[in-house]
Amino acid sequence: MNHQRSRAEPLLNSWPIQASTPGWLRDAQKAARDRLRSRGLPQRGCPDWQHTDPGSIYRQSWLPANDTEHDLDFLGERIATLRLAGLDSQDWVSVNGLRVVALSRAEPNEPHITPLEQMSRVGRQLFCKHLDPRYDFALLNTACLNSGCMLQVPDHGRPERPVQFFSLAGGANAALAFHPRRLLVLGKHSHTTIIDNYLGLDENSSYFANTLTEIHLQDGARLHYYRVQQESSQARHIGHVSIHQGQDSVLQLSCISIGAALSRTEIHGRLAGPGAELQARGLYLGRNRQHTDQHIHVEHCCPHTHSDMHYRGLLDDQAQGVFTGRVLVHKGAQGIDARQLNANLLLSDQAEADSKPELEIHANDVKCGHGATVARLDADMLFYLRSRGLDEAAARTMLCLAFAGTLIEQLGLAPLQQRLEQLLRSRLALPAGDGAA
Amino acid sequence: MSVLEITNLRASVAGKAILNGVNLTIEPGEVHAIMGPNGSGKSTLANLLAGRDDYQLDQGAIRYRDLDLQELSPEERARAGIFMAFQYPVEIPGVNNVYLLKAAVNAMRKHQDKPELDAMEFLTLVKEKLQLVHISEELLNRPVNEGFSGGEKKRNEVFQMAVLEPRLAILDETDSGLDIDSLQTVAHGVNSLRDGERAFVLITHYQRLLEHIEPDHVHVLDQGRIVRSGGPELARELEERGYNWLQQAATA
Repeated sequence: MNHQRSRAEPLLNSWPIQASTPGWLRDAQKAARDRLRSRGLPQRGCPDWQHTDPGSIYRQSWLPANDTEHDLDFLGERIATLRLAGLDSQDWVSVNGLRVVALSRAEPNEPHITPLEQMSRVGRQLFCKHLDPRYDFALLNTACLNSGCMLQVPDHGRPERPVQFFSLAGGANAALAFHPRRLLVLGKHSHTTIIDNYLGLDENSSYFANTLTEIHLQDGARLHYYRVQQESSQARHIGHVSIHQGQDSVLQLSCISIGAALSRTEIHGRLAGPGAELQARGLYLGRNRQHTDQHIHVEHCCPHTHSDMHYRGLLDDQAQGVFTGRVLVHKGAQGIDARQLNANLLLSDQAEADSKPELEIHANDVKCGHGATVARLDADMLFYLRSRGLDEAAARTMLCLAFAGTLIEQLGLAPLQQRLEQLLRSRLALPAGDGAA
Repeated sequence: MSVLEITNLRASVAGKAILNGVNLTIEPGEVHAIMGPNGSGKSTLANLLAGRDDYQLDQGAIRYRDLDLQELSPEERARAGIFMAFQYPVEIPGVNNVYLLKAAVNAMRKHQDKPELDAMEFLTLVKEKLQLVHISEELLNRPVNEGFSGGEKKRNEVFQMAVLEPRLAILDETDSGLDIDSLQTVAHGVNSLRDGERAFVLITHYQRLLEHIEPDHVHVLDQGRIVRSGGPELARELEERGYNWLQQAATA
């Protein structure tokens, strides 16, 4: 089937390669730009874009963000609202993709976070190394990136505090786009926790965040990675997370998707060493006309690798939620255990959920299971709660919290669990269609 | 003031007429048993009283104290003191049993302009009521009805009733499927809640429950009408002679 694709030129032309770009990066950018020029960007209906229309990204003309002076007090306040109770962290703060040095903080003994252009040889070698070129927006990130950083945890490193990235956006008069890049490299047998926050600074800003995170777990490394997307209600957010896992490494990934008019989170994981394990948890909320797309693709490249995905969506008003879960078991990868589960709760007649779990297996000793459900609030449960004196709104909230709760309780970071519950509660307390996202 | 006054009640479910002119008056403190064969309209009556959506009142009136029940939502009925113990209590995964109960108690108290109970006060109340129905504390912290045995579900209903202290309690076939121990426990729970004010409607197919809870009045419902009313002796007569006896008498 031949699907129409969109020309990449207009987007690329807004981000010429900067003169100061080091040679190694310039080469990668040129290659990505050539590729995008020749094949364009996807439209609705293209493979992997059946239910999501990226057209609104192409129709708008975006401007690159400039490094401007910030109101540090204001930013500090917004960051404070994101902080989780009792959780001290090493911070890296950016606004519209550009780092705000004054708000970033680290102790001398903590893992190094270096700006991309000053990256070590290790980083340069890993940069783009495992990216699957089929992901168009990942390619666009490489083509246009103008900022980024690399976090490296040394072998056997066990930092005391988690790292928090605060990617703040908006607050500008123009429609901005940015393509921040991040490399997270965990050395052998290192353990750490990373919380990646995306937050819109105001509700009316229209911007396009096209983020790319490359995660490399070396043998025996363990990472808890939380990604919490709360962009402004007019924003477009595409986040690609590319993961490469070595032997016996464990990644616990939690993707919370709450904001943005259009958002898509792409996870591409490769279990490239025996014993590697990927656990993905996802919670997505949609209301008004929000569109949220969760795309997760896990490749079992080696024997005795495990993956386990569990995503839940709560969709209200005219919101649409898309889930694509793909598990690919390569030839010779025996002793695989792969599970995926997606459940959706529709809170209005016009909300929509599209769920597509897929399995592709080229080995015979494989344990795979998948399931997808789309349901509405159960009338018998609602009646039962109301017959005990709870009004309809309270009964609905209770059932929604119960639905999301089975996922939230698996996230393993108590203050985040409480935060999410609080957030759900306040969202559900609003009558349908009221207020912005 | 009567607790409940049902006048010439006609009702249907999905367009099908089920109740064809029911008259029933219940005074404070009374226990009424409503018996009848399957399909006679017993559960329809219970659901209508609780306010379930798909049950349509076509004609007649239901007055609860000085209120027109038709005007009230299910939660308003509950707050006004009506409680239904469900025939098939629904399982609600993810909603903690005691959490629901606390929300229910406080919804009632808010309605009565009483301050909400704090965690300690609530716990004291719960522990006191637990003894009535012999429920283990462990069940309290499980999701509502999830994985409960049939008997545990019914005991849990009676436990909720004890905590919520209704003015009118409707037990919809609470005895069906119960082993003898659970039956006695349920009966003990109900009996200890009889206080001369609280009224009960026991909907049942069998006379068995009525050996443990002595009703003041027994009514037989058949084809959507009360075909006979009497005292406790009517239940015993039915046990001996079956419903056919009355059905034949009614059509004779």
